[in-house]
Amino acid sequence: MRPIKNLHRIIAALLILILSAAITVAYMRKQVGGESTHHQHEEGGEPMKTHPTPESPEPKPSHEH
Amino acid sequence: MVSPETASKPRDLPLARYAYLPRHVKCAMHLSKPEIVKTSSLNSMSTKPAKKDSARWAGPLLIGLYASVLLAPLALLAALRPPTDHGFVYTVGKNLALVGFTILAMQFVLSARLKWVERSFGLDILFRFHKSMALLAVLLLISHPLLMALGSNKWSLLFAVKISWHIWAGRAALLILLVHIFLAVFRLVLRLEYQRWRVIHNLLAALVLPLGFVHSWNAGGDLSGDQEISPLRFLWPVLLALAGAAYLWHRVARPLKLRRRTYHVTDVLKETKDVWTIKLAPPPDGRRYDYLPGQFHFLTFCHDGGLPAEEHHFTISSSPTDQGFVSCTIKRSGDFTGSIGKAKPGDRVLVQGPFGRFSYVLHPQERDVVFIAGGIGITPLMSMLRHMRDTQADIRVLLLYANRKHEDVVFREELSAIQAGHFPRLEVIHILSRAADDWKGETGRIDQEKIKRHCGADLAGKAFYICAPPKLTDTVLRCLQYHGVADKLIHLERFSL
Repeated sequence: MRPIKNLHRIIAALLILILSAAITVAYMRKQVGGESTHHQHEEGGEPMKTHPTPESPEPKPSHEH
Repeated sequence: MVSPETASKPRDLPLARYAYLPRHVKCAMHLSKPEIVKTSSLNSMSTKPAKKDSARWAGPLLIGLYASVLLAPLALLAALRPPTDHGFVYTVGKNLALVGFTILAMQFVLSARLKWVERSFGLDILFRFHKSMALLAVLLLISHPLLMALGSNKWSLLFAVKISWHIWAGRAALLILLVHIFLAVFRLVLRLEYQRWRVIHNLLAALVLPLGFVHSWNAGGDLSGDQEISPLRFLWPVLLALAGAAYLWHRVARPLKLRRRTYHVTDVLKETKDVWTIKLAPPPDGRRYDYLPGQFHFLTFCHDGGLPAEEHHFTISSSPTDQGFVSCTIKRSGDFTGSIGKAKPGDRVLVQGPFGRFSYVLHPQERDVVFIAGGIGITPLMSMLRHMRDTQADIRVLLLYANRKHEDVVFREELSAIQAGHFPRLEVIHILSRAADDWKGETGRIDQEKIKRHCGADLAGKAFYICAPPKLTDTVLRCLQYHGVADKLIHLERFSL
């Protein structure tokens, strides 16, 4: 009996944890993306999408969706 | 329940009788401290908390480890902060998929019946958790394309036909996962036979994860190597390998290992018109595995016998004090169990066990207990009563045993014999729903009034062990909750996993 009640609590806690973490990490990455875009504007005038490498001068979009 | 009188009452039971118990159980019973073993009896030990009780911490530690693994991909992203040009909603959608994939990978570990995982929770609880986490993973993985489409405002992602193959792989994985979950949740409604469902379940599971891996490896910006820092490229193969190893161990390696050490049927005893007891002996050169009274095991009869080679779980009805064999008592209730009477001495059987935490041995502080059994639910309770008798456990037991007719009562004579003895202090109340006219005992069903009348005023102070059909179990639970019995004093064994 007791473990089943605990089980529901654990699953609810995990769900809250996962959603909070997903939202927090997305927010953090948005902040970083926003900062880097701002600096690039100041230095070169044009925002860079990602970091180009010699092999692929034109960076691919990070997701094809 | 611990009462001062019983807790301090000395017992003459030699601790050597518990030598067969697994180490983690001795630890849970506080039997592992050498100084205690030298000086005390089991009864006095049960009231003395051990300083280092590793069993107590194993469960929370495993839960913490599990949560850490689920959040590992997000933790890596948070730590290394690879930049992204995508919007907030889009990134949340991606993050949910990362956790969803990790949950799916861990599902293989949860369902692999690993002893070191199972022993802290019990297999029934672990399988419920497995089922709940599957639903949670589906929720996250359905949100993934929706949030990404919403975040990028590209709804073609959901419906476009001409799209990258790895997007199709993701769609296929999600579709298979939905079918997978649908069959698991509605198996009984669909009247899908358990063994057939199990084969489908295992096959679909083996498809979903690789498809999800291929999709995320190629489509995910954090995995595809486009980013300068791609920490998930290391984590993803580890998760896939972990799931693959658990799957191969559970499906291939362990069955092969069990096959090298088959048990054999020594006796098939007919208990009532539709109940049989099967006695199994280990191989001549081998020792029988250790178990606790009340636990269960999985049996697979080999092809050479007269029974289908299917795996089924059965409660053990013998006591671990019975050396050299293990028995289970099985009622005819389905295709497989309908043919259990065809088992014959010499049939080879693969035995995997023991599992479960439905055992009074794990709660040594409880000295006044009520067993509630419905029909064949008596088997784990019988194992415990036999163990109490053999170890001369000074425990007061009230058994409320529901059956339809007098001739359906399994272990009737043995229960009377235990009741006539001194250990345990057993009182058996038979309750028959279709009693003959000359029956002088209780009739009808186990209900609140009967429980209250037989348990007396101190109902809330007793510990309850219930093994009965779901309807009776729910009735009893409602009654116990109404009378304020603490959750920790209610122990359940459900018939199905």
